[in-house]
Amino acid sequence: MTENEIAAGGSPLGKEKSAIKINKVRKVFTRNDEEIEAIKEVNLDIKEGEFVSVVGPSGCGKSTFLHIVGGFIDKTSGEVIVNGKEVNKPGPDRGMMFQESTLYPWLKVDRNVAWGLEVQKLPKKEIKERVEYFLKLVGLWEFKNNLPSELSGGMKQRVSLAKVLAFNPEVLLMDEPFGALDSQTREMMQAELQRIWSESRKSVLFVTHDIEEAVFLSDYVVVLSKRPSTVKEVIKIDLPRPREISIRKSYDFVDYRNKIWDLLHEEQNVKQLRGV
Amino acid sequence: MSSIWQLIKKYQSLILVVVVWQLMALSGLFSEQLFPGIEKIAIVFLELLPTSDLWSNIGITLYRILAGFALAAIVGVPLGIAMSRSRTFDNIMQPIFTFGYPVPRVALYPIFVLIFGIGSGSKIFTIFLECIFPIVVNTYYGAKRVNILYIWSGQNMGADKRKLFWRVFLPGAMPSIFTGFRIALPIGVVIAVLTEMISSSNGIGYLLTYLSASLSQSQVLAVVVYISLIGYALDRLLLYVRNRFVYWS
Repeated sequence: MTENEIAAGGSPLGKEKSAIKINKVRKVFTRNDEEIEAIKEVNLDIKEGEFVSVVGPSGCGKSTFLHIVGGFIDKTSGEVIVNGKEVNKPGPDRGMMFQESTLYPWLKVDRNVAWGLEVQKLPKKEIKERVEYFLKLVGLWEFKNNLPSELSGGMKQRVSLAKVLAFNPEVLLMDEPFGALDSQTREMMQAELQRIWSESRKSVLFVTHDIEEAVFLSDYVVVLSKRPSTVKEVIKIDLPRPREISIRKSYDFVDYRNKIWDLLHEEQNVKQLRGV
Repeated sequence: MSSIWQLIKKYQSLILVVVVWQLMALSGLFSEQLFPGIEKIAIVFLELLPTSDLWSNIGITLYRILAGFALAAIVGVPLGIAMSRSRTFDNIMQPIFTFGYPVPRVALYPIFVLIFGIGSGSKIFTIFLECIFPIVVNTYYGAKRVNILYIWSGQNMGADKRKLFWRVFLPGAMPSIFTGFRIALPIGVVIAVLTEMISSSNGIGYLLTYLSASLSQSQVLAVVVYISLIGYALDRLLLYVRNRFVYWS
């Protein structure tokens, strides 16, 4: 399936409305008076409740792309539309999770989760309830009085997830959130994320360099080309949910994995040949 | 028992200095006037302890150190932050700090004496000038290095500029600000004593010059020990405050 088919409503959830719509987003960086085109043109249409991953060769600008959707950096041209509204700045409608922990090291775990809610001036009672609910959801309620430095990398990312979910964004943007974790913790976090996602049914735009992670979690995997990036292909992952960890061993899973691997390596070979 | 052993281990280099000093004193290579034994220094140290002479001078010196340091902190921290946030302001101020840093500001002390008089004013101003450099520079780099993702995360949750500044940026820069303080405070002690030695009628530096004129080395050394204890106590105090403020690192 191509991006255009998705854009035309080709997804099985096609009747539902778009959560995130990306129209002709382009990004050119200027460094030392030199223009570098990072993103040539990206179009995407993510429907409500879908889990969409973006993979691409290293340095292809997939993180840049996500930061544009988050509103943290400016795009050169194009539109990002979240739930029908064009967005240009960061905002709590898009909950962003980064590769590195962004928990404030000076706040205890529960204050970190409460932070965004306090900023939005929610009633005290509701803040308390939400903090408790989401810390329990990620299984870290008993660590509420710890400082982030007292937690492991995986625990920090679970708190980060609780923090983002707590302010109830319309969509989740995740920038290689498990990239810094060891492979066992990463698999556990992926299973955890699938469980939490299936409960909350939020639309997720997930950037990763890990093909298996993308296949395991996603409804669609978007493969970007090398820089300047365009959408090379969109692959629908037709695997039943909920997915067990052991699904990685199934033929269907491996087929998807290999297909994406081939697509990525086509891109990387071209890059390597150029470098020679 | 083990705690005594640990104390010895912790301060073994100091103990070594004392032992070597004492051996030199006992060797008779130098006159006793020049190289008094530790026991003589200790006796003078204890003799000085109950005198109001000592404590009134310590009080005056402490006042100068703390006033100069506090001024440097009050001016230096906002200055460093302003430079880190505004490119224009940074461009204006940067030459002062790159060219001014290696200049010994204390060399201008005679001029400050002419301007502010021989009392505390000239000394406080010199201490202020010496202390402000490490404070501004550390604040500046600390503020520049606040993790951009902390800011982004705050923006993501809908925080406005004011909230981001007070609740994300400032705590993020706090560890470096305190590093600047900890570099500046001992400099303040040194400059206070130095300026008092050059021209003063009171303060611990004045006491030092006064006693060296009497050629009593053991008294001079006892006062030096008092000065180092002041420096040590001030650093401990600052460390205590820092650990209250920057409890997370």
